[in-house]
This record gives sequence, C-alpha cells and structure tokens, in this order.
Amino acid sequence: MSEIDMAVIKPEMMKPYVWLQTSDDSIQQVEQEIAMFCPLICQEIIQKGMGSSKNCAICLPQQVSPAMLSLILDYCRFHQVPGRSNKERKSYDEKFVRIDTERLCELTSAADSLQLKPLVDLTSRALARIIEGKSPEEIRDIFHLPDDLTEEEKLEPLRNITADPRIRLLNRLYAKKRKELKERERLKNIEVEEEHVDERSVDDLLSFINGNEGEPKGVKTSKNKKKNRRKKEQQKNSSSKETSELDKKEVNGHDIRHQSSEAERISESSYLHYAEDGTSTPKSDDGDIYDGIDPALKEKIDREVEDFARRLNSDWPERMQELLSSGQDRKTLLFNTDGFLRRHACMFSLVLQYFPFSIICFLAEL
Amino acid sequence: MAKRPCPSQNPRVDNLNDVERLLDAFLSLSDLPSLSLDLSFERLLHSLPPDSDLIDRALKMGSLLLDAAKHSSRKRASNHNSLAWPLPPDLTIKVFSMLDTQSLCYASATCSLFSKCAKDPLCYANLDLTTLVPKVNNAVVATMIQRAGKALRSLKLGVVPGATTLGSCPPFVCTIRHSIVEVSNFSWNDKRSRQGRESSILTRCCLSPLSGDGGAPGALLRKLHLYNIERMDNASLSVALSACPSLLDLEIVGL
Repeated sequence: MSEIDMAVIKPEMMKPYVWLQTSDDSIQQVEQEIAMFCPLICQEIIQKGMGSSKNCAICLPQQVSPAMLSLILDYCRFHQVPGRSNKERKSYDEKFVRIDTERLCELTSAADSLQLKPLVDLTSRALARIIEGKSPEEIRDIFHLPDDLTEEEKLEPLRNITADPRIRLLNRLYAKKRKELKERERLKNIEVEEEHVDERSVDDLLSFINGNEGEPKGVKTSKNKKKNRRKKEQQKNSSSKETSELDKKEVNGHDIRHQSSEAERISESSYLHYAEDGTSTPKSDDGDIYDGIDPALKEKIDREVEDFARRLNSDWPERMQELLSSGQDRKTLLFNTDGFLRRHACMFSLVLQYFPFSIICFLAEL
Repeated sequence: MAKRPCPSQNPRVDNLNDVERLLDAFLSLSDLPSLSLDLSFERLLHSLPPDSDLIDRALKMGSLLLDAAKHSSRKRASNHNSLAWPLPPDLTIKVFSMLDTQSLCYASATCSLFSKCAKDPLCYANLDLTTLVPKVNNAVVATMIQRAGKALRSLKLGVVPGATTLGSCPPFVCTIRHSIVEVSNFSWNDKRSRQGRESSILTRCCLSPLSGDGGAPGALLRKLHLYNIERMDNASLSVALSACPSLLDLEIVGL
C-alpha cells in the first residue's frame, strides 16, 4: 500500500536512472544505484531532488568530462556490488590505475570533485608511486612541466646517494675511526676482568665514596652505550681540569670520565656493586654492540704496552723503591689528566698485570 | 644607429620608447637567415679605435639581455604549469604526503608549483633522513622539522648502511643554502649552527629543533629512530626526548 503511495508521490525515487550532465554539456542516463556511489550525486538527488529527468539533470563539476565519468562509473559499478572479496577489489584497483599519467591526473581531479574518497586515495597513491624515485628532470618529462626555478631555488635539501669514491672513502674513514674507538673501549672492558683485588673493606669504600660526593672524578659508571660514547666525546673536550688529587682505587681503564652528577650517582651505586663483587665487572652492554677485536689493532696495542712497560721499568727503579716505602697504603688511581693517559689507558691496564707496582708508583708520582 | 631590417609589422612598437624599439629591432635580427653576429661584431670592433670598450659593453649587455630573457622564460613556464597541472593544490599536497622524503625533495626541485606544494607541513609528517654516508647535516634536519611543525609524526635520522636505495636516481649534490635562508630560527652568529651547516655531519644539536617553536614539532612525534649519530651526547638527547611527550617508538643505534 505504502509502496504504491510512494510511487505516486515520489516517482523519481523508484526510477532506476538518473540524468547527469558533464562538462561538455552532454547529458547521460545512468543507473541510479551506481551513481549514488558518488557522494556528490547522492547529495544532489536526495537533498535537491535533481536528476529525475533530462530537464533537471544533475550538473557535474567541470572536472568531470564524459570520458572521466565513464571511468568513474566503471569503478562505481564494480565496487558497489557487495559480494566482492577484498582481493578482487584490490586487483581491480591495480588494473584500474594502469592508465597514462595525464588521464590519471584528470581522474584524480574528477574523483575529488565528486567527493569519491576511495578513488581519490587510489589515484593519489598511484601518482605518488609514479613520482617516487625519479629525478626532477624525469618528473618534469612525465608531467610535461617546464622548469621555472632559478639555480638557487633548486638547491633544496637533496640527499646525496652517490657512489662518489670520495664519499665512500670518507665513509670508510668514519667507520674505521668508530671501530678503533670501540676497540679501545672493548679492550678496557676486557681488562677490567683481570683487575687486582680490592683490598679495602666495604666500609672504607663507602665512606670514601660518601666523602667524595662533591668531587666527581674517577668513579665507575654503569655500562651504558650512550655514556661510553659520551665519555669519548667528553674526553676529547675536557682538558686537565679533570686532574684529580684524590686517591681513588683504580678500577677500570675507562671509568673516570664522567663529570655529570647523574653519572656520579649511578657510578657510585655501581661502584658499590663492584666493590662487593670484587673483581667481577658489570656486564658490559658495550660488548653487545662491539665487533670482535681487530687483530691488527690488538697487536699494535700489545706492542705499545710492552714498550711502555720496558720504559717504565728502566726509568723508574729508584723511584719505585722510594714510593713503595712511602705510599704503601696509598693506592693511586689511574685518572684522566690528558690525552696521553687517555689514549694509553688501555695499555695501563694491560701493564698492570705485568708490572703492578711500577704502574702504581708511576701514577703516584703524577 | 641600428639598422632597421624592415619596418616592424608590430603596431605595438609605436607605444614603446626608444630603448624598447632598439631592442625590438635587434631581436628581429634573429629572423635573418644570413645572420652571423660574431663576424659583424668583429668588423665593428676593428672599425673602432683600439681603446674602445666595445667588448666589455657587449658582455654586459649580453648578460643583461640573457637574464631578462631567462626571467621571462621562467614566468612563462610558471604560467603554463599552473594551467596545465590538473590537480588543485590540496590534492597535490595529498599526493606529496604519500612520498618518501627524498622523492619529496626531488619533486620540489621540479618546478615552482611543486616546490610550493612541497612546503606544506603535511608532506613532512614522516621524515626519513637516513643516508648511506654522512650527508645530511643539522641545517637540513632543522629545515625539515620546521616545515613539519605540528604535523611531524615520525623522524628517522642518521647513517644506515644499506638505507634508502632508490636505484635509478642519478647523484644529486646536496647543498642547503636556500633552505638556510628560510630557517629563521638560526642566528647567523651562532657558531654551532654554522658549523653544522658547513659540515656534512650531524652534531649533537641536531635534534634541538624539536624543542623549538615552543616544542610544537616534538609534541606529537610518535616515532624516533636514530642511527649511528656519533656526536650525540646524553644531554642533547635527553633535551630532545623531553620535548617529545607522545613518543611511542624509540630506536637508538650506535651511540
């Protein structure tokens, strides 16, 4: 009953066709349910009741030419059928956008004017895929756009992915330098494990640490990749102000570079941990990221160490005796005074195993 | 003095002043089939006393004319582009926002229309500035972050072996003079920023733009990946991280 009423009152709602007028003023008849897929047309029909006859055909935006309209209608016709799987739709879409670039652009524009968002997304992505990976010259060719930029304007932040041999050499130098630094760190880490036993009591150490709150020089830090890296930076930057007059237990070749209070606190806690464990070294995170020791580098360091040890023993025999007698309960630390010490810090730790007294005396001297 | 090859057909000539008429006459020489400008110039040069500055004048006028012509040619190209390019700016920006950062840069070097659209913040939401070799420096990072503004969602920075490989691209030299002019945050007297500009290395201040502009760029940043930035240190990193309260995905390699 009501259906017939509806048919009488609103005949256009039952008609399956709508009339669309394209940019060239030609009028087409289109199945309603397909056309309704486009939000703009839908709106026109429902809100304004247009499109029911040739006379009140819906005027489409001027970006929609007849060719574009037929393409869009094809798209709508395919997608408005509910029974299609996602895979089907996807493969249809892929084929659909395999048209020449000009038409693709037009299609994007037309779809946008009809507010057909899925098609806009599809075509935009297709355009983006076309532009991707092309040089400016190629892009200009594809879209037939003459160049209208001045030379300066072209100097935008472009990245150089060249295979320029100079860049490659530079890269290799960087890599080598980085590796070298890592090796040094790694060596120092390894040497920690062969440290001499801490002879002072825990209480002693505690009081020592607490008493030295304000002097953040040679304390062990918790292993932290960032901190290690930062240490290297800091050691390059800082100078002799790092000289410490404190007597601190030598712990590690690379421990003593932190000057921030944050590091201080952490290092204090880890120092305690270290003291309790004796010779154990906190597991080095660095070990995870460092490569195996470069054998050439290790050899070089070994040689340096032997050299240094020889020199030490030959130059300082008297002083050794002197200092031994006077500074018996003074254990000195390896601390960071300048680049020389830093660079040879790893050597010091190696030397320590060979010539423990010599190194201590030498440092006491400093 | 200039010989008029033929009375100009152009009715507009009457409204021009003398210079413009001369120019018109000179340029209509290009229609002459038997034109050999170099010979005529030589002959003129020899006819004058030896101390005349004809050569310098020719150089000067030649370059002036060339510049004027180039300028007009660019304008013509711009006009053509604005008519020929079918997409409205917002669609163009939408397409660009689907491009990776390098393609975006290439696209913006294509023409002024693209260049303008490529400066929209939406295009810089996902920045991937990783390179195979150290090439991106602080100024580049700063420019990009500044352009992103509030739209910045993910940032990848550093040197990754085997990173972005866009195979068929010819090498393009990276210079960032133009972008520096735009970066108003930098003070030219700031030694730090100048160092960053001249080198190709990321220094520890490379993430400082995240805190700039009242922290707007960092505020909505979701993803931050840093690879092998040697000079990064704790302090700068923590400053940068504190400027990114919405961070969900943080990856730091090689510090």
